Amino acid sequence: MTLLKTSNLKKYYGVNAEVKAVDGVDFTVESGEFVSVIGSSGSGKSTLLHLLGGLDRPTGGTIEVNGKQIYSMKDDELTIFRRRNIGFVFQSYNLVPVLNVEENILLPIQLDGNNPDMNFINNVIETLGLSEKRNAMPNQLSGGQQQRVAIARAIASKPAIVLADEPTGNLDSKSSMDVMGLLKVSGEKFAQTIVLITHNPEISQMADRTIHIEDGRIVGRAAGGEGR
Amino acid sequence: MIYNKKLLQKLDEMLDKAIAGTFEAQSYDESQLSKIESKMARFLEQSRLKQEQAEAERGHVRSLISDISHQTKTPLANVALYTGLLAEQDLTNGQTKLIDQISVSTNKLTFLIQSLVKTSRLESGIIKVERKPGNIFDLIAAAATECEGLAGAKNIKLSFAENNNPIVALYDFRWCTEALFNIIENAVKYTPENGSVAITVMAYEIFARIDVADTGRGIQEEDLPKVFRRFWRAVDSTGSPGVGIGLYLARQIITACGGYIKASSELGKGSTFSVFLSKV
Repeated sequence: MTLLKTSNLKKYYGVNAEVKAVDGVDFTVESGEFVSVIGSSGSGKSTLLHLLGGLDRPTGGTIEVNGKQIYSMKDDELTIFRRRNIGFVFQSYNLVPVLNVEENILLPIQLDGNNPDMNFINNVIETLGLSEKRNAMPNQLSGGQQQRVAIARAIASKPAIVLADEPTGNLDSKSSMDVMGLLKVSGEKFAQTIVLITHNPEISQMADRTIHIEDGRIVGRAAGGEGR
Repeated sequence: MIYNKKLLQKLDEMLDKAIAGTFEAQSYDESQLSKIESKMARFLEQSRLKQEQAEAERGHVRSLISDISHQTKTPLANVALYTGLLAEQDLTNGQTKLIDQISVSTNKLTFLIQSLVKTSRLESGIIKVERKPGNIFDLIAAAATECEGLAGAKNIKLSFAENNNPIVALYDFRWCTEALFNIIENAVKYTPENGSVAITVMAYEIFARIDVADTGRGIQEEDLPKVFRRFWRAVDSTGSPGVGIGLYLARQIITACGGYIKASSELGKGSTFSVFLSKV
């Protein structure tokens, strides 16, 4: 099942659209897939992620998530859609410093006024190796552990898609492999669709499929063939 | 719009129960809510039936697989046996060549069917992997030793890390030995004579990592994610033995053990396959 589909997606900056950050990008992501988008800095990959996450409106083209065109929604609709359907993992962990690990993980679910499914949450916490840290405060955790909390938080609300933007950007190579491994293992375990943005080929190899982006365009057709 | 907060709350509770699988119709009267309750119970019952149907179909597939494996065993063994007997007769050179071809294909077919049966059993849940804490050096020794003959025949240097400081990870010994064997065998197969295959180990906070690095021809970048697919073989690999199921099975096994597997490569220099298993 196709979960995410972009058609001729464009984002131009400048008065005369002189900066073409994203310039006609078409791709699809299937449900349960782990796709990485790789590109050097300035390639447009972060702009692409912002567009996919509903954080920034495109200059042209469309994005469908679960068959719904997200940019036909009004801003306040989009905000709620994003909260319910998209989980983010950024380079900075963005944990709430006064909440412990478990409270941080539960926060987005409670913000939406739902009762968390604790069986599922416990499973997520265990999978990410956080069972012994559930009462710890963020400042008591290493960078890798904090990022694992951020991943747990993103997965906990069962979003349609998790968008990860350089999730290991602040980590040393050992912790990076652990964090990426847990992202991959939990993605498979919970059939979570993941789109990962990175400049690092070693990290992008974790994905089932890699999309290369350069100067705002997809180059080559790495793995998966036409249109995938 | 008339907003009935109580009603909405009631509906929200009903849905929570439906998600938790504990929903039952509470009331039987002429109210709209009672009607909705009945409809929801009916809808949930239908989904349950569909699920049961799917489960039954999976059962059919399972029995079909076990039938196939059972029924092909004897004829295949016979083909191998009679080919062997035939090879012992007085034969011309041409005839011997033909018999060699038959043996090669018979072996391939036997391996293919065995691997297919194993993957189907893993996927359909007939076989459950049993993760137990174990030293990963034991796993490496078991898998690498099995490949020594093949490596020796091609004069390939097969080196593996010695058991100095044990690294304990969770894995199923029998299945993971098979997975690692498939990876090492693959490395040996695609490495030219006089090359090397090195197995090294690294420990992270969460995962233990086993690298199998060869000096083979390497894999094109766009092919890297495809190497674990069922029946996938590189376009230029037609000269090498194999059916493209070994790495697929390896991936299924490692994933079932809660680990993962990845490949990296440099064309012309070699490839590295990395297995990650959860440390204890």
